[in-house]
Parts: sequence; C-alpha cells; structure tokens
Amino acid sequence: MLLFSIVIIPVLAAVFSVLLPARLRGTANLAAHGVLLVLAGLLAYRISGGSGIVAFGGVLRADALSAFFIFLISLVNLAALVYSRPYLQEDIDGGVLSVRQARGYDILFNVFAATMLLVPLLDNLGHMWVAVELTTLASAFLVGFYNTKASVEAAWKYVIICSVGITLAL
Amino acid sequence: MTLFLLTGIMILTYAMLVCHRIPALIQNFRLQSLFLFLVTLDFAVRQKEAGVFVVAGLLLLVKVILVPSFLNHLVKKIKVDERLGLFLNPLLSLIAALFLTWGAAVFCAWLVSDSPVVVFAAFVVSITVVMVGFFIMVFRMKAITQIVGLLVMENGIFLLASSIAGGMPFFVEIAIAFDVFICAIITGIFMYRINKVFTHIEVHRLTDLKG
Repeated sequence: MLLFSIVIIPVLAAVFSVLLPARLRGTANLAAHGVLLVLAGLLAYRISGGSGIVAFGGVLRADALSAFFIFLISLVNLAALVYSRPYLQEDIDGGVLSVRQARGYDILFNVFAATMLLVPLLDNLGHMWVAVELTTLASAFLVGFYNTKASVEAAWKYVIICSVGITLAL
Repeated sequence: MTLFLLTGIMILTYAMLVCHRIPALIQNFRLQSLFLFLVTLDFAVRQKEAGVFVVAGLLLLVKVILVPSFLNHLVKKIKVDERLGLFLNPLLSLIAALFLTWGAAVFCAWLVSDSPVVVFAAFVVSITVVMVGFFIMVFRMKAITQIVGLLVMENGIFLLASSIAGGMPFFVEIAIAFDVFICAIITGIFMYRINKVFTHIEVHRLTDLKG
C-alpha cells in the first residue's frame, strides 16, 4: 500500500492540477509533495527495520537503495515546487507566461515526479528501462517550457541525446 | 528464409544511406520495419507462441503503419524542403557503411565464432543497422533524419534482442512498442516547434547553446 501510494500521489496531483483553479492548485501540490516526503521517510524507516517491501505480486519492490532514492527525489521535488511557485508567479505577472501555461507546468511537474518515483520501485529491469525513458519524455516538455529559441533547441538536444543513450542501454 | 529476410533488411539499410529526399527515407524505414516484422513473424511461427505473434502485430501496427504515416503527415504539414541535406555524399556514405559492416562482422566473429550462420548473420545485420542509425543521425542535416536514425537504431536493437536473446519478456516488449510510439510523437512535436520558432529544421544550424 505504501509503495502504491508513493506512485499514485503525484498522478493524483497531476489530475487535480487539470481540475483545480490556480490558487487551490498551489496548495494541493504543496500538500501532495509534503505528504510524499513524509511517506518517503516512513518507507526509509520501514526498510531500515528489515528486508524489502513487495507490492502488486512483485511488480513493485523497495529495498534500502530505492528508499534512499525515493527520499532524495521527494526532497528535491518539494524544494523545486517551493522554489518554482514564486518564480512562475513573477513570469505570470510580467506577462511572459499565461495562467494556462502555468497549469501545464504543474501537470508536467507531477507527471515527471510520478515517473521519477516509479523508477526505483520497479522490480523488472525492462519495466525500469521504460520508466527511465518516460522520465526523459515527460521532462522534455519541461525543458522546452518557455518555447523560445534557446529552450526549444535545448529540449531537442536533450531529447535526442537521452533517447540515444537509453536506446543503447537497451 | 531468415537469411533472405536479413538480406532484405541489409539492402534497405544501405538504401537509406543513398536516398536524397525525406519521403524516400521514410519509405525505406517503413520497408525495413516490414522486413523486421516478417523476421519476427517467422520466429513466431517457429516458436508457436501467442506472445510473439502479438509482439509482431504491434511491430506492424507501430513501426510499419503508425509512425511512418505520422512522419509523412508531419513533413507535409511543416512544408519543408524535401532534400535531406547530406554532409557526406551517398557514395562515401555507402563506403563508410561497408566499413561499419566489416567492423561488425569482425566483432561478431570474435564474439560468437562457433554459432550457426543464421545467428551470425542476424548479429552482424543488427549491429550494422544500429551503426547506420547512428550514421544517419550524425551525417544528415534535418531534424527528421535524427528521428528516423533513432528509430533505425531501435529496429537494430529489436532485431538483436529477438534473434540473439530469443526476445524480451512479453510485457517489456509491449511497453517498448508503446514507448517508441510516444517517443516518435514527442520528437515530432518538437520538430514542429523548431520549425515554428526557427523557420527551418536543420539541426546543424541550432548553435545558440554551443559551449
């Protein structure tokens, strides 16, 4: 249940980002990622007591290394979320971004968080490969978010380099 | 039979290197995927496993029908110059590809020296296809050739996995097919954006971020 909720919370947050208005969205996202950090701490505590946790008939599995990575990812996620809120607000006030684009940012951020958290939890190397590729694809839109020359160029190079790397890893 | 199909893949791989125009490249990619599908089908018939048939069907759906149609549609939509923009002319590309094939053969002979000729040929062909995919990505100018090169590399890896390792687990194959499709769509979207922001899709002119 714990592993499942770690993956499903960012997915739910992405869904809520589609539905909720701007003000509630910020609070909901902060709450979701705060809960994630707490769950990551709980996972680390449970793991430290003994062996790994398995869920879904062995599809998901957590050991000490995945607990470490989950904790790290959720910590960075929370920090990025706290930082990006006023950052984006400034761009919205300055007219660089529309409110709709900011919503897109929240959705992509949560999808990216979900794929990132999925990677250390999967028990099959092939599934893990797919999840890693999904992180690349989800974050590509975040890299090209501002849609300027530099960001589109960066996103293109990022996507191509990462895809070639991951293809060779297969 | 398998040797015949492998030869087909090899010829189409070389044909990709000598073509000048984008539709021809996409068409060659489609044919190469079709031959890859036939190889997988042949494998499935001999193995008599339902899972392999499904994988072959997915290959037909994604790489032969959906992705090339999407790329063709995209090329028509952005109305870009049809020429590929070669850094290296077809003859030199072909010679380079022959050297890559020779290198692959030497490497495979060193790796799997005492195996049947079909396995050896499949190994050489798949490594060559991966190398040629790389080659297309590096020595052609347009962004779309990088997408096609990536897909060609993916084809090569698929061939390697299905002929040497006897295929990957069923769910992994399905996930990879899905993933390839998503990847093609997303790179397509970015190509569309590049065309909108820069008014061209020539990758060698994207130099703002050079260190």
